[in-house]
Formats: sequence, structure tokens, C-alpha cells
Amino acid sequence: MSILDPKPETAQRDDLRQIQLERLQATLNRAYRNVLLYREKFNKAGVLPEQVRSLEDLACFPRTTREDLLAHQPFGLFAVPLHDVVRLHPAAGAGGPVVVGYTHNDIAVWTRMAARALTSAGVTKEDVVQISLDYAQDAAGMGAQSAAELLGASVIPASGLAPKRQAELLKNYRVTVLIATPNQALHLAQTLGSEDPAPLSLRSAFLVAHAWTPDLHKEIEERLQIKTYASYGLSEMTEPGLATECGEHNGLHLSEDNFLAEILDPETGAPLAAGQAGELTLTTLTREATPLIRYRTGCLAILHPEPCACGRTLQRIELVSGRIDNIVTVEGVRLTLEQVQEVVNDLLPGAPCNLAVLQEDGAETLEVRIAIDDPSLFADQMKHMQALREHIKAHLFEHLGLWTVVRLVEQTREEK
Amino acid sequence: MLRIENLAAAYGQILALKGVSLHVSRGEIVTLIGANGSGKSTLLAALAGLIRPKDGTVYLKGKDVTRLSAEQRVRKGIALVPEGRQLFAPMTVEDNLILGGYTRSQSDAREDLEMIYNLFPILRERREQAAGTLSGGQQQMVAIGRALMSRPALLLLDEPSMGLAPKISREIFQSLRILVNAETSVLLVEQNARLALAVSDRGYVLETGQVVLEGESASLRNNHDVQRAYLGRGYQEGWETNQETANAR
Repeated sequence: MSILDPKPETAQRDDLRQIQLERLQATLNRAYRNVLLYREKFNKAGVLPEQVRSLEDLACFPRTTREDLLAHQPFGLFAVPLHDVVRLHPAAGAGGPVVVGYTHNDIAVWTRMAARALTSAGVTKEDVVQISLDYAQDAAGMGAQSAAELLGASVIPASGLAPKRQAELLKNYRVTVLIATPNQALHLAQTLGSEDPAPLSLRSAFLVAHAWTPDLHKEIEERLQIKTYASYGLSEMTEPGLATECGEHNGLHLSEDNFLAEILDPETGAPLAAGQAGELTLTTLTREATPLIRYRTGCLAILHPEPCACGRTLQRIELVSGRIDNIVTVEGVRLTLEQVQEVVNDLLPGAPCNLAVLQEDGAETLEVRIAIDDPSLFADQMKHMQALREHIKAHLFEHLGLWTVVRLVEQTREEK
Repeated sequence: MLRIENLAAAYGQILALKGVSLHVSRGEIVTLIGANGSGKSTLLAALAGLIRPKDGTVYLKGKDVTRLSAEQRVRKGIALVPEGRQLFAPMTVEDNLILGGYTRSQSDAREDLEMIYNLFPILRERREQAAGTLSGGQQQMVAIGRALMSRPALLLLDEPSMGLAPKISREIFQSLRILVNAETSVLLVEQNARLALAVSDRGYVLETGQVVLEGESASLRNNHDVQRAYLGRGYQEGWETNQETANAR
């Protein structure tokens, strides 16, 4: 399969490191000058941008968390004036949305990056591409559309359509590539049901996700008889294009001329050796509007520096299931346990809860289990408990923007 | 071709460059833009070996040249076209050019002289004239030609458009595109950011001795900060700029 931009994608490691160092230094200089969050963080840690003389020196700088970003909403993270920002993508997640701004140049860089990603998944101008991603929920939809159009493919924006309509489009317009979340793709496969997938023109699915879901990929491949390509992204970062599988399917090539990845010990923040699993921490190297420095993704990953048979010299990320913090991702929305707990405690002070993500028919639902320390409640009428559950459910929806399944359990049982 | 890591330089107590990293690839024209005092000319002076850096490393074709003298650097392939041309005014055009080829054999220098006359035909006509009697644009051609006589791998240009009429500047910049090839790359410092970004492949924006932006020239032209600071308030993306881009290319 071809490589869209051989210069950065097959660069010598030395050349790439030089470009990364230059861009890192420029990013730190700009962030320190223009963004209060970073100026305060750097000052507090007693570090200055000019102390970064090599990529490894970044380890002395403080990490950035989602909470940091939340504290500077809506526009406090921008390194350029608002009137230079041409698009805003509020990234849903724990604690509310975090807005990511894009300048004209940011969008051009992103589109190119996403086009590289689609190329590595074999998309060409001959393809008919159906994009099922929700354009409002996820920035990836617009990124994928611009990229596919840049490559000259024929794009069908199918955002927000019911699976039945999606299936019709897929059949009627001889769609060859599907761009969707793994769940959307599975839903579509289920909608097609027992239909023989052989007459479909569909060849591959480019699956955009915040987490690693190999089982889902396998099921989609089997049901639709296609190849799948994983694209990892975060709404706070740029997707698609951040990291993508190539035809070799041995990890996701990181767009290293645009991002610097570190694998850190989640507890101490100390850098881990190549091959060890740790928290993926990312720094943007080319973003103008919203630079992010040492952003903690909360994802566990291993970095593989060895060259890949596809010819790309870009390091590969191997995503490891599980997260290091209490974050769950439901239909692209990231939530922390603490945040759900807080909402639950509005109504039931002191009641502990835990979270689970239910997978059913390709759809994800968040289950909130709440331990109740009041046996009388369980002895009471069912009607009363039902009303309480509905009340909590509505309250959660109001605060999290997500319908959940609420289960009430006796505290004693939960403790066992 | 050229790789600079964390270059720092000072004039007395004043740190004019604070850890600048940049590179110029083979066959590239790279421009440095920045306000007065941002460190652009200091960077060129440090590269040419005219001032000694406080810190950092300079690699030319993979070899560390940080500690070499200005003269040794010329032999390694770095040539500077200084601000204000600095020609030997009473000497003829041809003698000025030949001086630039002092590191080469006579026959090689002859050959290069031909190449320079082909690049700037007006100099052939004026070859016997004293350099000081030429117009500003022609003097700039002599200065560039003199630097080219050493067959540099890297040509450093400090404000080539200074004091020249816009039309002449454009001609000079057009010649840069012609002379850049697999053997010669260009690092350009220029007040006229619009013209520099039109002719170059990539650029770096310097502010108070630090790089704050790096990118392809086309994307720097689209950057609003660059437009506000270096392209002037009246910057128009209309006829004039397109014209300049077309001409420079």
C-alpha cells in the first residue's frame, strides 16, 4: 500500500528527531508566551522552555491533565486570539466538554495527517467512502471527510442516520470503505443480519476509537468479510491521523512529525524504557491554536521503535486494554468514577457506586451500580425503588448527557 | 545539509540567541523572519564563524563545524553574503568575483565565472567596471556571485533586498530559485518577509532569540501572527501578493 508523504513517514530517525526538537522548542516557546496555564505550570515547576535541549529534557516539565484543561474553559487554552480560530470542537468527556480550537493552518495540517492515515489503510481516489461518525460528538467525522476528499475519494456523509438507512446507503452506492466507530460498524453488520456480505462492494472499515477493541474488530471482519484498520485518537488531540494501523497490522503508526509520545509510569510520571507498558502522554508539535504539552491520555500503551515492513519509520503504538485511571469511555464520551459519584451523591449522599460498560447489540451503555445502606428500601414496594432509579437516571442524564442503566444493590452485598 | 542544535550567542552580556535549533535540507531555501533584534543576523554571523557561539552545535553535512574559524568554514562550504554587500568598490566586477574563488583552482574559478555570468548576464557586460559604480541591484548580484565562487554547499544571505527597488529585489530572489540545486542550499534572512516567504520552501520565525514558529512558507504566510507582525497591516492576499509569488517562483 502506498505512502502519502514519504518524507516524514519514512524519515531517518535522526532527521525526524531534529524536526521534533525544533517543533517542540517552538511549541514550548509559544505556549509559555501565550497560554496562562502553561506559563503558571512551568513557573511553578521552575522550568523554562530554553531548558529543553533534547527531546528527553521534556521529562522535567509538568504533565497536563484533563482537569487542567477544564479549569481554563472556554478559551483559556488558546495560544492565538479567538478571531484566528476558524473551528471549535468541544470534546466531550469527564467533567464536561473541553474545547479544541483550530486555525486555518491547523485544519490543513490535520487534513493532511488524516489523509496519510486513510492512505495507510488503503483508501484511494477510487473509493466510495461512507462516514458514519457523529460529526458533533466527535471531531473525527469532519477530519475524515476532508481527508477522504483530499485524496479524491467519493464521500457519503452518513452521520446520524439510523443503521437501516446506513445499510441501504452501503448497498445502493457500492460503498467500498466504511469510516465509523467499532460499535457503529458492528451495529451496521447486525442490521445487515444474515444477508450474504459477498455481493457488497465493502472492502474495509477504518475504525476510529478512543480505546483498543480487538474483539470488536475481529467480529466486524468476520461478519462483513472485510479488513479493518484501527485509528486511535482523542478528541483533545487530533483524529483521525494521530495513530493508525497500516497493512501490516502490527501496531498503530504515530504521526511523529506532529506529536511527541512518551510512555510514562502512571504513578510517578517517570519515563519507561521502550517495550514497557505505561501511560501514553502526548505533546502536540504543530498545533497553533491549542497546543497541548505532556497531555495525559489515561491510555496504557507500549511504544515499538523497530521499523515496520510497510516502509514507515514512524514508531508504532501498541494499545493495551485497560486504563490507569478510573475513566470509562461510553460511545466516545469519557467519564471518571469521581464525576459520576458526585452526581449520584447529590441524591444519595455517601452512597458508593461503581461503573461498568455494557456491550449489547453493538451499542454501549454505562451501568451505574449504587450501593444502598438502607435495607428498608429493598423491603419497600418495587414501585418506590423504580421511582428512585428513574430519578437518579434523569439526574445523571442532566449532568452527564448520557442515558445510563442504574442498579441499586444492598451495601452488604456489594461489600462482599 | 545544515543542522543546528540549541545555538546560543551573546553580544557582551546580552543573550541574542537562546537555544535555537533549525535545519536546512539539501536543495532547500529556508528563511528566517523576525523583527529587528530578534537574533536573525546574529544567527548568520555565528554560522559564518564571525562570532563564537556560547553554546550549541552546528553540523554541516553531518560534520561538527562549531569550533571552526570563518576561513575554515568557507572551505567546508559555508558562504556568507553580508548585509550591505561589502564589495571592494575600486576593484572591477570580475576581480571581486575572482576574490570569492580564492579557495579554488584557477581553472575551476574560470568555469564558475561563466556560470555566474550566465546567472546574471548584466555582470558580464560590466565585468571591467569598478564595482562601486554599479547600481545597488547589480552590486547585490556581485556579492551573491562572489559567494557562489567558493561553490558553497550552504549560501547565507543577510538582507539581500535592503535598499533595492521592489522590482530589482524580485529579480534577485528569482535568481535564488535558479541557483539552488542538489549542491547548494540557501538560508535567508530578510526584512521583506512577504518576498522571502514567496521564494522559500520553509521558514522559522524568531522572537527575542527563540524560534516560536516553524513551517512551510505557505503555511507561515497563512499564519495570522506572521501576517500581523511581519507582513504589515495592509497585507492583502489579493493581486499584489499573488503577483509577487508568481514572479518570485
